[in-house]
Amino acid sequence: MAVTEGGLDRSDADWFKSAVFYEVLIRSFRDSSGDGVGDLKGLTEKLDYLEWLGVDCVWLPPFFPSPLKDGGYDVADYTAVAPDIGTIDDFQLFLDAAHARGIRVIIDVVMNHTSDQHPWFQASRSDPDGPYGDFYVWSETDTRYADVCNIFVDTETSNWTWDPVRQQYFWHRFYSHQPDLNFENPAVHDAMLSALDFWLDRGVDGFRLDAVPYLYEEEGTSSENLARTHQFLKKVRAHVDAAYPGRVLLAEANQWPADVVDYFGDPAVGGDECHMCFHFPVMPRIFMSVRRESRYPISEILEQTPTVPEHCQWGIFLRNHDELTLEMVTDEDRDYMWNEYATDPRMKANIGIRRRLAPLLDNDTNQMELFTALLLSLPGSPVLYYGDEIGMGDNIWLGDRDGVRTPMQWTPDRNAGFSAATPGRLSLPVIMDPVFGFQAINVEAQQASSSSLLQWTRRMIYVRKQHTAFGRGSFLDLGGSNPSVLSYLREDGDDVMLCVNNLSRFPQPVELDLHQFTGRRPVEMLGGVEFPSIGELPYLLTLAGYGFYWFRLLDAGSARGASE
Amino acid sequence: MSTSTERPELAAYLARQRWFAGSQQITVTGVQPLAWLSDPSSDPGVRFEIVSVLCGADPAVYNVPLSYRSEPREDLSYGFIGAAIVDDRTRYVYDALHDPEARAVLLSGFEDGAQPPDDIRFDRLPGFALEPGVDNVLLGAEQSNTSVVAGDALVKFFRRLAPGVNPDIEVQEALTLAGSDEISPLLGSIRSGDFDLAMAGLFQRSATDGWDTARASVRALRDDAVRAREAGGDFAGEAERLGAATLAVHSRMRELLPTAVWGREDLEALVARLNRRLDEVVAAHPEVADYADGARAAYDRIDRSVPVAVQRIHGDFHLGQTLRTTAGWKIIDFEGEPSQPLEDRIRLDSPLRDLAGMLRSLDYVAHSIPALTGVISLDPSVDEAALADDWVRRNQIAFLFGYGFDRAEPMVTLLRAYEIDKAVYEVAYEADHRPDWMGIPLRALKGLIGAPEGR
Repeated sequence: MAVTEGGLDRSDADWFKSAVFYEVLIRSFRDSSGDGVGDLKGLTEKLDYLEWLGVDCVWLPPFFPSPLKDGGYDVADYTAVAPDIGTIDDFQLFLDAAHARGIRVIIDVVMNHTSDQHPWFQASRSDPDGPYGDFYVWSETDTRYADVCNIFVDTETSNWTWDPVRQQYFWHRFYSHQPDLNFENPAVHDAMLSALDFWLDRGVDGFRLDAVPYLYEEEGTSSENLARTHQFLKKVRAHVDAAYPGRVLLAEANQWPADVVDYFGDPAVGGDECHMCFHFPVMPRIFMSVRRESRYPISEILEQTPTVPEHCQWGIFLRNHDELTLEMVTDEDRDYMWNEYATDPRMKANIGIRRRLAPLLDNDTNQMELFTALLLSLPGSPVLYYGDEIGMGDNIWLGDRDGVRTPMQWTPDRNAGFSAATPGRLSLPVIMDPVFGFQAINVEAQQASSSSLLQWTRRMIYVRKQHTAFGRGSFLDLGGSNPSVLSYLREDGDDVMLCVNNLSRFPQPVELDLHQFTGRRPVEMLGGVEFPSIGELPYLLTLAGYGFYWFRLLDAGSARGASE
Repeated sequence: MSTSTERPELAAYLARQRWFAGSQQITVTGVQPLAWLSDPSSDPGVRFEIVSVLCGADPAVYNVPLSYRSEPREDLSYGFIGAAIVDDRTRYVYDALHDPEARAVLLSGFEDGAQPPDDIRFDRLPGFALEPGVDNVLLGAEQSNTSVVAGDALVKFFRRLAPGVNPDIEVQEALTLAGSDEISPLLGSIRSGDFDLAMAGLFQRSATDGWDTARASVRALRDDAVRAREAGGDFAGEAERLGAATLAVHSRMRELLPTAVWGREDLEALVARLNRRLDEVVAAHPEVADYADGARAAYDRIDRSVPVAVQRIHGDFHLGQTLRTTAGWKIIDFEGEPSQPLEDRIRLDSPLRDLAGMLRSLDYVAHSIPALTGVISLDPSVDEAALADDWVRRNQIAFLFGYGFDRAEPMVTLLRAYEIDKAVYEVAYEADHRPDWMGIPLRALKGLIGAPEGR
């Protein structure tokens, strides 16, 4: 296999550890055909923008044929492209164009279940003895696996649904239109692996694995995180590593970090399941810390986060298309967050309702910059959500998840430059309110203004990419005298970054014990300003409200420039 | 043995130190040096010296480790005490805790295999040893001690000494050996003869003290100008967890240390003590006179017929004696009130006295920011004192809830009496130290005495 493929350097198997990810919803990014729906050709047009922004890897949520009852996560065909988005050829062109720019692409794979419209399910219900008869979890009764919780209490009464065709119940962990695949059946393994191969052969750089804890069921358990589920993931990993080295598996396991680490696999071999897992609790903790003006919500969760195997990495995010519900990560016995949330109506609302970053932060640029600085400097690879880099708003009247899936705002022109269609034809309306509307918030205007959030975000991404400490370095919480200031060191060999964040609206001082770096000189990263050298005494810094610093700690030798 | 030339300089040096309590004329009446910890002919020669002084007419004993150098050191001038003749050679004498090399010598007794002289003991709890040559840092100015961080240890050198076991070491040792999670574990101590010279505990790198943590909440409240439960910086969750940590520590202390039950006579004696303090304060501070009758009535309501369980308590419990760490709240400094004689500091008392201390501290913190900024209200339409009172009420309730406070009538009455007693003491303290702050305890007295029965 060639080391270089397109514009990619495939020799760096750990590329994902320092990559900046960007989640983009194809249907809402750019409509090239003028039919009102974003498409793959439109996305390809905008690759120059993503390259300019500094994105290393694009994550595409499901774009497969689907009845779209669950945002495309109800897949009706694993190896095709939904017709309104494009064709397989369009995908190949997009992928090659991305690689030519050095941008990788990962796509979503839903392993646990399919749509009830998938031909496998249709065959399984009509021909129980045929090749697909055992592809799903069928039962004569609806009483098995009674210990499994029902995730969608509002819409589903049971995890079993009666199928009038086959005259049996089928198992579904999620919606009743999403029957669970039967991983007891080796043929399901083969079918899933060949679906992965289909995309890997086209050059896809990895997969986000949706809802991985639920693949197997076992009587008398919650049927989450079962040993056989892990065995299957190891099998997937071995298969991918053998035939397609350098590709990445990113697990969505909406669990506590101490349980999620199991999805990295065996630490002794550097991890043999998923390369990456999302770190879910860190996001609400950031919001809670800023609301409480206290570093403890963040510090505590990072302290409770186990170290990951050598070739693994957390994925962290502020927002994505599909928020966590706190019920899934909270355990009162070991965590106090539930208590804090339950008594604060505003926090509950913010987490429960799907909102974008900017409206959650009252459109306060200082807070948006602070949140982004945290996202780009805390341990893990940051996953940006399209539109947040310009501070896009949301439309709460669209309901459920659509409110945060409105079209990307490119220009102040018709349909925000997203589509040439008649505005009424757009699959989702563009944001038009006076604060967040596309006339006020758009890429074109922000690219033209050097002080915009977009330009600032881009500069921060570039700083991050120049320092391996962020992606690959260790993390040390420095504590310090002030409870409202979160300070930490990221250290990768000689590359030492000091990050200091004021979580409070008020100006704050902080004294940091940096005596181990006595003689080093902090250099502020956005302006290159040299701060006073570190001595034995506590290092005093003052920060404006919501202010933050990224410093590089230069050792005494390299701090003296050529002019001396 | 002790050299006379250093004494005037030593007296002058002591007088400049924050940890030195007296401000009157100081006379050094005796210096008892302990054995050298390093070769006195080397640089630096280091030893502890126990210095007896007369401060006005009051005798006191101080712990002053000194470092002797053959050449003056410009970079250590802050800790320079004076010149001395030792073995016919002129030596330059420094406060050893301000001399990094001397500090390393002082700490080396905590290393594995160390062999300190016979007149000094470095006790280590199981598992603790300092790495040889570990770097150490002096922490900033402190009120009554001088602390050094070395490795993971925080070594606190006591300055003013009292004969007998230091209650901080005694209590923390018992709690540490019992595995208490709510304190910062003790690692070791330094003793000589009848004096405890220093204690080593785990350095809580991630910690902030409870006073600063609570103040962040109060600042947010002032800015939001909303009821405390709606404010972004709500502290009630923290207060509740602090209550739970306090209960855990009290329970352990009850299991591990002496206990007793106060009957009628003991309670009469308590009421007498409370009244005596009140009389003293009223005599010196007429502002308190308005509340004296109410206070006496509140003390008199203590039900002498209900026995009260007493035990070792913290004794000086307030937010500044708590640390918020990433592993929850830790309670520190079990010395009791440092200005009191040892017998009072280790006296058995009801744990309600600690609760009252924390309730008063929550009141203090809420009203301290206007006292500091001098700004009573940012927006005249907002009754900021009422908002602060709401914060105090919410967090006091949360703290007591976390503690599992028994609201039976005798308990409520006793708690109220301790709160009044504390507030009376605070008036006297503020009158002497911070007259601007006197309004805080006076306002609290009004609430405590004027308020209806029960909380």
